[in-house]
Amino acid sequence: MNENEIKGDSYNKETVLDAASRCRNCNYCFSICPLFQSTRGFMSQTPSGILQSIKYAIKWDLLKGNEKETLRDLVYSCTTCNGCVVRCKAKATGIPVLEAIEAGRKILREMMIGPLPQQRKPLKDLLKNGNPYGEKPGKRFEWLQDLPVKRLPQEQADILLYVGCTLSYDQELHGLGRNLLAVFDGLDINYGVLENETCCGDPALRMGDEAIFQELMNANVRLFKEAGVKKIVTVSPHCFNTFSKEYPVQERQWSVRHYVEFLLDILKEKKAALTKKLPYTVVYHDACYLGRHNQIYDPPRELIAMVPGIRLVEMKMKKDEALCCGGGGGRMFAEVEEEPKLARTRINQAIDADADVLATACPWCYTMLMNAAKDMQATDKIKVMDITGLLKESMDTNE
Amino acid sequence: MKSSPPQTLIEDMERIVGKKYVSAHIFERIKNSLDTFPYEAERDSLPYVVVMPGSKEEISEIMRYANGSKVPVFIRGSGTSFIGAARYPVPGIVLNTHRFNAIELSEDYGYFECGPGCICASVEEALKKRGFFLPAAPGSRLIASMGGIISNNTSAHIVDTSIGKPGDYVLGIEAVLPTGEIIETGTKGLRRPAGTDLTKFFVGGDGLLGVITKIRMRLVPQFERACGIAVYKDLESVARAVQRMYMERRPAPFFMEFMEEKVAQIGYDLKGIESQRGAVVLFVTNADSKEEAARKADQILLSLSAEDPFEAQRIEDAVLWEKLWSAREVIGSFLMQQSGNQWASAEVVSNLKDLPECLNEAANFNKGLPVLSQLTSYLFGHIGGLTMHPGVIIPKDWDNEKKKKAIDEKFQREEELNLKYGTCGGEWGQFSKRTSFFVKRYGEKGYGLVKDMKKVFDPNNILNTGLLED
Ligand SMILES: Cc1cc2nc3c(=O)[nH]c(=O)nc-3n(C[C@H](O)[C@H](O)[C@H](O)COP(=O)(O)OP(=O)(O)OC[C@H]3O[C@@H](n4cnc5c(N)ncnc54)[C@H](O)[C@@H]3O)c2cc1C
Ligand code: SF4
Ligand code: SF4
Repeated sequence: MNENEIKGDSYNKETVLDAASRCRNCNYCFSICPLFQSTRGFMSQTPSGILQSIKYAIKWDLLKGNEKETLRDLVYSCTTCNGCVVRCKAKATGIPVLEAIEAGRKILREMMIGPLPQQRKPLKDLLKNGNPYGEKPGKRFEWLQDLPVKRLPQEQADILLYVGCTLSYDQELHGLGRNLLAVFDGLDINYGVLENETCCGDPALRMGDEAIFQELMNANVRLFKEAGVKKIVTVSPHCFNTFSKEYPVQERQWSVRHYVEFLLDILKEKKAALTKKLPYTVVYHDACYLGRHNQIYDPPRELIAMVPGIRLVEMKMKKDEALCCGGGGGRMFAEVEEEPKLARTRINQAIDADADVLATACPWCYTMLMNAAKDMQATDKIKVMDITGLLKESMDTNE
Repeated sequence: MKSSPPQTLIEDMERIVGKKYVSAHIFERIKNSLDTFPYEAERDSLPYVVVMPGSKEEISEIMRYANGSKVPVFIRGSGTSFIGAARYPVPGIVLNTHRFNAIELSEDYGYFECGPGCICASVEEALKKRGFFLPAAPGSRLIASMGGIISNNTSAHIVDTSIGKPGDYVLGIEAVLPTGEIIETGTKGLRRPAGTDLTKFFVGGDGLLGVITKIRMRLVPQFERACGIAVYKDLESVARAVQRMYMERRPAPFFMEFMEEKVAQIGYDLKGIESQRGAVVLFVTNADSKEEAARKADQILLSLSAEDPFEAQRIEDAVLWEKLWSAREVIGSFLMQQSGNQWASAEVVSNLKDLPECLNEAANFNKGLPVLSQLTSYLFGHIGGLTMHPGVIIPKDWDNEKKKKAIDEKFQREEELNLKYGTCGGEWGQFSKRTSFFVKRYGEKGYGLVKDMKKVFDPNNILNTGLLED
């Protein structure tokens, strides 16, 4: 079967039933699940709880019943952080829990039960506008109009910087974007952005809509081909993961990296570019789609540690045990029960680590954590910064 | 006892604990009806509702209500019971203890108190931060609740002859009786009561006589450790070495695990350990100082060395030790992952005198059993505690009935062996799937006393109904 094909209902059901039949209900996975930790602790709000729910919904014909919306709320509350997969592999039966949960989403979407009501509009917007925020495609790069950034395919560049929707449309993130561009410029990187960039498709996939994902993927693949793209660097770990794992191998005539790995390699050669000492104690928050999904744990730490003056510390929950910020899996677009808010817990963990800067490498983590710090009125205790902000500050000799 | 619930059960529960803490949707009910047994949930016995009370008063009210309306109540910690205590035979109210998750260290009193919903690993961590340790080390530490641990009174992997059971450290508890009264037992002092101590009805009480709502335990300082290994040509030598250790009056090890040769080889291959093939014994000693722990280990090695081991020595290389220890820990999950199926094991306990014979029988655990003999049996366990966990991998493709039969056979053989050696399970609790063992081991009179006692505490058989057979 072509990887690119939509695999269909029976495949998805089989994925769920196979995983559930191997799940031992040992409940080890509870211990890492952010959903379990941020809800009241009911057992269905856990990895194996969701898995068993979908299994019995299939087996007992509950998909049509009056509790189908309850099932939907459970299945869509997962942040897709991959913690359960890591824990189940280390301690139990090693089943693909998340793949099964996502197969459940596809089943629900196919039956028009999913996604969550608040996710319907973003999903429609993805199809209509190529972004989940209801913004016009033409507005995507308004924020860098005054900057001399090359546009592909009209212009040529070695690297396609794939900016992504969140950074493009969220004003709060434009500063982060500018920092990144300044770092790229400072390091003489020959890069450009894709004139007609469109969403990578991650939100569609996470919300269980394979058809919309396919549309977006096909559009991107066409654009990459037209522009002769050979190397892609992404800002978001979600785009990175989607390009590297969800796009079919046969379509990939390009390599893709997340900016942390890309910049780490360059800065190893050009360490002198980081001139200014920063007197910060920094703690890094592992993004799920860099860490647990792609095992990129050390590069962001190495990158931060390269900045002169910085003292790098760790939170209690780190690397494959890191607590998710709560923003993944389509949850950016919906209100889901969260008490306490994961991002708030994470802010507290950063403060407990005696850090004054909490560094991120994902626009969604940045947004979630920044908003939490503001809500908690904790911005004087902990400053949320993207790693690019630290690099820019250290490279910026004029300040 | 299958009851019809009052029409207003859910609203009544919501009134007691608040709407937020009641769940009656089918998916919550399904998950609460599952445990580690590999067979399916049954629609007829799904709980009616799951409630998550936040105070002892709320539990008291639930129990009074349940008595009034004759609806069973099942206490649920994390549902990891290995004997079927978390798979309820009839519908009822599931009382989830998750919200009882406070832990308080009172160093000035020399004890800590925790709620039954505290997870074992969080208690361990809170204690460790202040230089204390938890006298229980189950494989399920990341998820098992303190309520589950204390109602089973399991020290788990820790060798009981070394530091005893968690119950030896429990100074007192607070519990809600099945009829709703709240009682406190034990002491705030550091000596457990002499003579009658009501604590004993609840610690290791299998959840029959009340809902534990608070546990008070003595603070035990952390200690230093030393580690060692011995490798033997066969299981008989392992058994004889352990017998020697006890009979030659060596210090009791804190942990003492073993793996039969084929199991050890799997673990070694996985962890990239180059070592002598054979049956492996790994042990840890504990003491106030490193020197004393090492001295204890050397003492134990004197006995272990007398049974002609391929090797018997202390391990001082921490990295190597970590590898060896984790080789033992990953076996179950590796076997499951390799086959895509589920692990099911028994708890065979020997007496000291018959250890060689018992170990041999445990190694041939599934022989002659109609269903289980179709599978390969694997053997490891806590040999210092004379405990063996022979296990099999149950194919996921077996039909439900066959899986049930496999689990029944497992308990049947465990029962035969533990009866033969005059022992009983030291880890997982005594009733549910083990009730028939209890009757045979302690007689109708012994079992009758338990039932009578249950009646005194729980006249309507409301709490954990079905744990004892009616
Ligand atoms: C992977 C795995 C590894 C394990 N390793 C070990 C091990 O090494 N050693 C070992 O001994 N066990 C082990 N177990 C079994 C299990 O974890 C223990 O029996 C544990 O004590 C059960 O805790 P729980 O919170 O899951 O209790 P549950 O399964 O929810 O309940 C167990 C029993 O305790 C009762 N109970 C729970 N809370 C209370 C309370 N507050 N008051 C009164 N009664 C209560 C319940 O009603 C029930 O009868 C393991 C289980 C798994 C899945
Ligand atoms: S850890 Fe794996 S086997 Fe255990 S309950 Fe979770 S999903 Fe199931
Ligand atoms: S992916 Fe993360 S949030 Fe989702 S069930 Fe697994 S551990 Fe929980």
